[in-house]
Amino acid sequence: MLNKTLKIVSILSLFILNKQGLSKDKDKERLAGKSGVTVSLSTKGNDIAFDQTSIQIPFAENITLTFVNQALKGSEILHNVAVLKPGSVDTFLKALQLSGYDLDKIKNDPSILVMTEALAPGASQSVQFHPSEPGFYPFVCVMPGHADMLGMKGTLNITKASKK
Amino acid sequence: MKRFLVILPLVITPFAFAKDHIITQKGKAFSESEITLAPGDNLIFKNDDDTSHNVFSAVEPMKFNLGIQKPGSEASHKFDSAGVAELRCAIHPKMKIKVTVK
Repeated sequence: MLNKTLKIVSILSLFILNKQGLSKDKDKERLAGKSGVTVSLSTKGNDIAFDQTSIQIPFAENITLTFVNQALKGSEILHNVAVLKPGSVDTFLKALQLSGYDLDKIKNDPSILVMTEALAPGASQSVQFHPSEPGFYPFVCVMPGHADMLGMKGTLNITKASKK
Repeated sequence: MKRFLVILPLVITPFAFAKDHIITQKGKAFSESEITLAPGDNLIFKNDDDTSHNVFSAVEPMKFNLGIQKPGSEASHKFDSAGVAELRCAIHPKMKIKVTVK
């Protein structure tokens, strides 16, 4: 009887450990973005503009955005990118102006899904975000005047993923 | 005709006394942190830095963009409407100057 109980406990333990292992692997995969989509975005040299204003990608739970500030090193032009919730660009730009273009003040704005740091010329940063559904996700540069005055903004069109 | 001659000076007077105010950009800062102008006054921005600047205001009715201003160059903007605006440089986020027109 004791042997039988021990056997059942061992089998159950193995099952639980295996489950936990699988879950950890899934988490690792999620964090590494292996099951996601990667997007690259940069600036147009020394212009205050993104190199793309419209990007289409299939829906994924994890999207990795890599942003490169291509401005020449001596130009001192800082850039960043913030991905916003669909339909929130006008509200966000008003809030940005009211904040005095202060990154520390604006970083907790509810419209922001993800935002890079202000990057010096030549620098790059990758960030991950997790859209809840397909849609048109605006992206903007938060540096003073870049989006609201000089039009440094675009749209990430996240389409329904095709069935394999 | 007589009435026209009476009204004409009243229309011209505010702009006849319009002034030019010079703001220097040096050390990645404006020479003033705030300035008060009369309607019709000009702000002349002199770039005495060795880097480019880009002065703009995003606030209506004083919205404007001077564009990229290279070292050694001058650019100006005329302020016709009363209001308050914070002018900034699109390249150097810490540069700002408050302009009041009244």
